[in-house]
Amino acid sequence: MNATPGAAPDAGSDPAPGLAPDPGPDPAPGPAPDPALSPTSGPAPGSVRDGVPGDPVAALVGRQIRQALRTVGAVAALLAGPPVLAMWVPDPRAWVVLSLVVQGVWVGLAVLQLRRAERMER
Amino acid sequence: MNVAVLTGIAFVLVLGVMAGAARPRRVSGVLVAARGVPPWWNGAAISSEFTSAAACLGTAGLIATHGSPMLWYPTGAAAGFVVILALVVAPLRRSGTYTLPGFAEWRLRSARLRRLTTCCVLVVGLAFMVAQLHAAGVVVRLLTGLPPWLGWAAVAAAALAVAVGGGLGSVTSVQAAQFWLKLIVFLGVGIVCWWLAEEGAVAWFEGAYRGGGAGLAGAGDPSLPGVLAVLLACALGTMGLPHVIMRVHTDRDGHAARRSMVATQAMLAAFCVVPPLYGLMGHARLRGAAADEIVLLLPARLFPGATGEVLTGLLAAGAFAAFLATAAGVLAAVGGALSARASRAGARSFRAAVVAVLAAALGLTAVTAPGASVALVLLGLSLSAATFCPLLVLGIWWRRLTDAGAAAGIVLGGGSTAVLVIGEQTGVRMGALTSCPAPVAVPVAFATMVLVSLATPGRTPRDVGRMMARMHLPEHLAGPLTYRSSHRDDR
Repeated sequence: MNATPGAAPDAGSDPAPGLAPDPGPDPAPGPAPDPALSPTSGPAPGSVRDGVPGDPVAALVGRQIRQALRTVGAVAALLAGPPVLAMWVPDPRAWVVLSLVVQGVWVGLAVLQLRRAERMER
Repeated sequence: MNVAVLTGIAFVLVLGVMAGAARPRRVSGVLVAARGVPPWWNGAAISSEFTSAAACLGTAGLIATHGSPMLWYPTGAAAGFVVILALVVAPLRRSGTYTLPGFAEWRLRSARLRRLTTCCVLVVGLAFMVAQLHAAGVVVRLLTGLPPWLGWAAVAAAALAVAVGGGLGSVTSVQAAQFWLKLIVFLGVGIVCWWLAEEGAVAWFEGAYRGGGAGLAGAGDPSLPGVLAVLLACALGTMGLPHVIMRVHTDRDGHAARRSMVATQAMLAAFCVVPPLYGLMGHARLRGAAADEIVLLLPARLFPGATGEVLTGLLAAGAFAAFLATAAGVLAAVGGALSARASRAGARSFRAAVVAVLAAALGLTAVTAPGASVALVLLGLSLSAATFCPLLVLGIWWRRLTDAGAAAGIVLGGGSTAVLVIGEQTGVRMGALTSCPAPVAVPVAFATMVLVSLATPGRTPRDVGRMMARMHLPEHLAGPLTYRSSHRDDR
């Protein structure tokens, strides 16, 4: 139960300044927050059902918010990154292509977030 | 040109109303969205309500008139749905509340907070409605020469028929069909123009930021800080749009809600080709026109004669599908929020609320001058980012949030947004970052909510642990205590 209140204020205030040019202090601002997650998402889903000491709801909430913040951090980086990088690329074709590529990346990111969130709830 | 355009517009309006009104009018179906809509279908409905006049006409026009920095606006608009998916959608669906005021009252046990959030929902909804009505007026005046109020009246009447006749359940089917219509029309006509047009139809503008005048709420600011501020407002504001939030409850459960967000994301990605496509062609041929008019003027400019007229008629039909989709969705969502606020809610108070909201929107449209639709939509997004975004994020993830904290955050966030926008409009310049109010107002709202909540620990709802379990435990693990039918007082 104690893990949540500590983590959540960051949860709230992070995404806001995180979208400014520097992507913020999130754990994985890059587009591939893969390796850190797979071990944490797997373990003991049964604990939610069994009601083991240490409040399973808070544990699940903690895992979910960490995953959600990774995704939001990636969104912040990908949202602010391309417009900033484009400053040094005067070719307009690159701007158009980049803006379309980012749209594709959102779909990929959404699928990734969906899979991870569902795996934690299994 | 009149015949093709009027035929197209009439076709869409009649089709929309028929599809909407043909559904059964059960009382429960009026407000409660028809449960168990497949994610793909609901995703199309969400995309349909989201791709309003601003997305179909306004963004392309801004790209044509303001150049390359506007290319990033569509990416910001779509990013909002990744944020919703990560932070909001499944817990909100599982909470069983399906309006923002309903969520605020359930989570923080405060009827006053419900009233406050209802006011915010009303303002955000009206900004969207007025944008659609003005755009409809512009289209009618531009293409047929008839007075603009005919366009307002057509959209208002059709939206009223859809919202009152069928409620949210039928709106889903109308919306989903209209999304495919819009996608096919705008993409198809755009590609036809691109291929058939002779040399010189496309102008590649210079890829650069520059200083420049910003419109209402920072729309069209071509400087890098201005663009980033708008992107922030889009990414965080989408989660508070009443018509998007209401759609979440058309899904069967939290899993389905997440999946429909992914479907929305995929469909928006398909639609996002439209603004740059028309923007580039418009930049070459129609640099002097107003932003919202460029898309519609393009086919006739490229192909004088019958081809241009038919293509223009198709685009007008698509544009009216966009106005109708957003107007009906916002109307149903805001009407639902307002009527649930009345003590004895039901089909009758829902209909009364819908009529009242529509009358207010028409009145506002009549007394304001038509501007760029993107600016009004951005105003709604900025306000939503500074009020509903902190309320939803902290309410879902932080158990120490209190009603006093939430109210203070909403008042300060919404207030600073209003001050910045009014200051900007009256000519007070406060630096580049304040052209769009979100970078100032969103941190203010978050900080206020956290600090005031920490200062009022005694006001945390007593059963917050049960609420957290209800929001976060997946359905198959939840016991009978956390069943998730909608609240009776939400109905």
